[in-house]
Amino acid sequence: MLWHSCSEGFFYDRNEGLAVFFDSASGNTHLVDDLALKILKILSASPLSPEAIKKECTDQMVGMASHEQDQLIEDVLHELHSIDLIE
Amino acid sequence: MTVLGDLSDVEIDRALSEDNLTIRVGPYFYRLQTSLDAVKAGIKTLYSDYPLVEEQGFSDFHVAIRPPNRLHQWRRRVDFYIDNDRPFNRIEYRHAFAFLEWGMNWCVAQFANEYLKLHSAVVEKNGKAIILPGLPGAGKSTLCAALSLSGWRVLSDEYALIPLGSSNVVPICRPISLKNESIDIIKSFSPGVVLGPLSEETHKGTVVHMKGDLAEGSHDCRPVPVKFMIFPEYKKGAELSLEPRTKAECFMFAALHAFNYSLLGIEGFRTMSACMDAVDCFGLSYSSLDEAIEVFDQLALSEDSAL
Repeated sequence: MLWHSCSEGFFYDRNEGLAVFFDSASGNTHLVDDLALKILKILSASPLSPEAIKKECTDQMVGMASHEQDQLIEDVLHELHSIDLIE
Repeated sequence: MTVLGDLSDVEIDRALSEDNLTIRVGPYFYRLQTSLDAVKAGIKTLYSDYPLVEEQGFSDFHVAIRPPNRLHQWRRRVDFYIDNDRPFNRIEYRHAFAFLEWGMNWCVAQFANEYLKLHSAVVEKNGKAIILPGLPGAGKSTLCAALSLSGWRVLSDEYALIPLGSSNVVPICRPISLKNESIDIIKSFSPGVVLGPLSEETHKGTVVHMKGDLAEGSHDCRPVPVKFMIFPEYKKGAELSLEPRTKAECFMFAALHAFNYSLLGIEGFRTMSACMDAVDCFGLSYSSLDEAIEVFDQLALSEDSAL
């Protein structure tokens, strides 16, 4: 299964650990953390599997066990999916 | 420049009754009409230094406060009109002046979408505008009033009007709304403060409006660059604290409480981004107005982004 972003999005990211994401499809604006931001950015470039997403995001999950990383990625993907940013 | 106070009371009364009085408030022309003495008195007290538009022509907002008919005149109720529309329910006569102020604010909130409109007070000193967003009750109007009585220019008590794509604020100086405890706080802070008619038992409690155009250049509506965004919070007994906040969090708060951020779509996002890049953001907790004003004075003296 490949995840991909639902629309073109715009970021306000000033390396603060939090960023703002504007979803051009819905017009909604979201506050996202570093990990969600990274996922949105890489999925806006190309669709990816959960495994590939995890590989791209290891920098954001330093010190976590592999199963914790899997769970975190799954949780964030689920959350982004629930607000229609990815599918 | 002719201002309202250059006219005699008789001339103002006649012009208001005859629907022949237009003043400039920030970038907008308001044509005002009323025959009610309490409203006329409030206008004379609070708008005496507002530029008069001498040639009656186009006005952005044509507003009136008047009793609807003989029956309601007897019941002491009044209507607010914009053009010939009546957007609100009737309200008691004793609240008529506050009704005019709320209606005049509503005009900008409802129609002026050539700007991104943040819900915030804005003050200026030394060419630096400071935006003060805040939830109702956070104390932004009280602080704005105290700043205006301490040498700061009020650019607005209600909105930051930001031209699309810019990081400037267009001044729209209006009387400052004070509610409940704030009224006595400001009277104690400055016993000579100029206040309009008092409205008791409104849906907001006791309300009075304060003359806000005290600083030189209050009616200069050229854009002013924004340098800080401060989130004030009055806490009884609290020690003064000024804590940095992330731009992303402040972006979200200000955007979600803006009047028209969503309406503007991507232009709203881009304008908000430009504005946030121009400001340093802080949360300010305070219990003493004097201490809070000292913080603002330091900010006005600081180098850009030097904190």
